[in-house]
Amino acid sequence: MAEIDRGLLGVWGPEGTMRVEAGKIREFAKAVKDPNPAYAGDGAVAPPTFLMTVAHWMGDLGQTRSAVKLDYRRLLHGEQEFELLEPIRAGDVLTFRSARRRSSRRRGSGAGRCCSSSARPSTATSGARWSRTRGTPRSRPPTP
Amino acid sequence: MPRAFDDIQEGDELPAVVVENLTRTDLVRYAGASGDFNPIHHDELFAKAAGNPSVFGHGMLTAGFVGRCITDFVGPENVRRYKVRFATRVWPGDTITCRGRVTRKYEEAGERRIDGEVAALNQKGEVAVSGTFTAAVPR
Repeated sequence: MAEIDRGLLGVWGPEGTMRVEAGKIREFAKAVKDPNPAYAGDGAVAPPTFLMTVAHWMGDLGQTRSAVKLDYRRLLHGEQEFELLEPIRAGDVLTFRSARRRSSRRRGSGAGRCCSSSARPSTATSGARWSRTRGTPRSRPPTP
Repeated sequence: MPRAFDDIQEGDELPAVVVENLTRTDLVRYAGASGDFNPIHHDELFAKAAGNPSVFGHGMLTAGFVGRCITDFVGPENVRRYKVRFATRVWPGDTITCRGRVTRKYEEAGERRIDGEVAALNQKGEVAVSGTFTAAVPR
């Protein structure tokens, strides 16, 4: 079963930044096998699930990431949602942060959790609006 | 080419996307691109020790395949919301077929928008990913 530090639930962690490089967009698009020319070149726009790449840097921020200690042997992905207020483009510097929103235990599925990450492009014309991605990992119960 | 709003009808099918014979290399490539290094997706010994027959695909890799149905239809810059639920897992050797359709056409927040539903099925017809989306249609 996953260990949960309830004092950290709902607390936004520190902010990090990530420059969105054209080559990273192209690499991500190739990984999801999408040859759309919009993903190539200096003016590339990011695919809708590109926010997942903040995982590269989020772990270094510590704090709220440790609200729930995940057991990778039993971890399953339940849901993921993206709210994209404006497109992410090559050249953007994303400011990102994350929080574990809540934790619940469901019969038969172990611990269910929901975590939220937000990212705001430097070029956002919308001021403080953040694009969001919310994921719900699930933990499989131990094998009987 | 993305479709024009006037040419879209509720019930219209999105372009299908088929990924044949998923490989372990595909999984490793997605791990590196996304930063999701859960060893259950690339380390066969770890995956088997955890009770699985082999490594299996990241849910978000399949969600990426499905996203192409949407972006081929409206253009990648026009996706406003995309939500996926993961059902059965995807394994090396699987062939994944992604489909979707428009469920609603409307105006909101000063934009012409569509809602739709999408799904990815394996070669046995089992649902691996199901989802919904909202997109703007500027033309």
